[in-house]
Amino acid sequence: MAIDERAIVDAVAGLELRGNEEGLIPAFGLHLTTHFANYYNRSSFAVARALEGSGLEEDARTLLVEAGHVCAFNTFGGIMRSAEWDAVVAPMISSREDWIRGMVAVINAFGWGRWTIRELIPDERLCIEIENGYECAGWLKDYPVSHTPRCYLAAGGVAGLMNLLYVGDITLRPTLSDAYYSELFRDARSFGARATSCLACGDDRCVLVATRQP
Amino acid sequence: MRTPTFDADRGEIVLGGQRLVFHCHHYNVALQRSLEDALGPRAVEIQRLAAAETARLTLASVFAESDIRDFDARMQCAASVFADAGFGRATIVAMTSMGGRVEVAPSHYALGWTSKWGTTPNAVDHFAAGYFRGALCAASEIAPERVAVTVLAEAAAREGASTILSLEVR
Repeated sequence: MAIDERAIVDAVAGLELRGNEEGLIPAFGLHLTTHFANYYNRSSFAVARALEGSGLEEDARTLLVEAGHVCAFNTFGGIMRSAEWDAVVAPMISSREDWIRGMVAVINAFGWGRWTIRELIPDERLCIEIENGYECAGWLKDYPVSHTPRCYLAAGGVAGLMNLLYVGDITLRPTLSDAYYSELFRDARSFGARATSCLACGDDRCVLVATRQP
Repeated sequence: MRTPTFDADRGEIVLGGQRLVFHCHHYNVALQRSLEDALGPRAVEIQRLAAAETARLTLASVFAESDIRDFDARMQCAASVFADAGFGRATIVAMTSMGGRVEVAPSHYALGWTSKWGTTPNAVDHFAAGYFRGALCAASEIAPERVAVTVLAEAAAREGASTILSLEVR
């Protein structure tokens, strides 16, 4: 059976994840929030803008993308180890690469825009196209066209997908420990992602490519 | 409308005209820590302002769409939106249009922080502080700069603690 993205999106959206009697959303072994996109954007862009012109632009990007790595490792990893994954996505998986296809379908229920896999070369390269990504759509609402990509979280997420599958092995349901994080994201074989197109820069969508970092 | 709407074709979740996105506690506190590593104490006010502005805009729309006009009902609605979104349980205490107190327990941010790095004497609940500042602005229909928030206690300070916010209209 192939990955049925629409069925996965409908299933995740149908979970109606909302706060319990304690105002918390425990799901997938995590505590989720349905957070304000603008809160992330204003906070993240403040850091990026504060460091622009100081020679520390790349450090700002590194910090923000690193938060995206943390997100990918824990959120994507947590979901891929969850009972909900087993119930909805796992029955559609027929190849190793379907783990990424299934996770991208789940992401499309998160409000992060529309993610589409343009190319997936196993263990080598992942190209994701994002329409209406919340970071860059938010940038364009509040700031002029950018001279540099602003899809920081998305870059961390795209790299994280590859690291979970090809540097580690999420299919074996490993414990998502700090040590395992370092193994996946601090290794010579780790993937990183860069935007080759960006909505914030005036392109019509973001395109992110994950490859092994030199 | 207090329930977010989801547009699968655009990959958008919207409440009160503002986009919502799913994120977990790992990302929320990791991003917060990154901001503070980069900007130091300035990061606190940036986060509070971002939360206040977004909450004010969202809740003003929610109040209008749901035709909620009473001040107390508006503050209760703000607490419900906060809880529905997974930020924790907020209790509105002795609140008037001139200010009052909000207690948050449990708190998503405090829980996330302590689960990763343990208790801390430093302030963590910047989002809650900004959110309820924005909520009071929206409920009272006053200019954002008129509302001051003071954090009296932090849920991340010790096990079982609450975040206590004092709001004052000036």
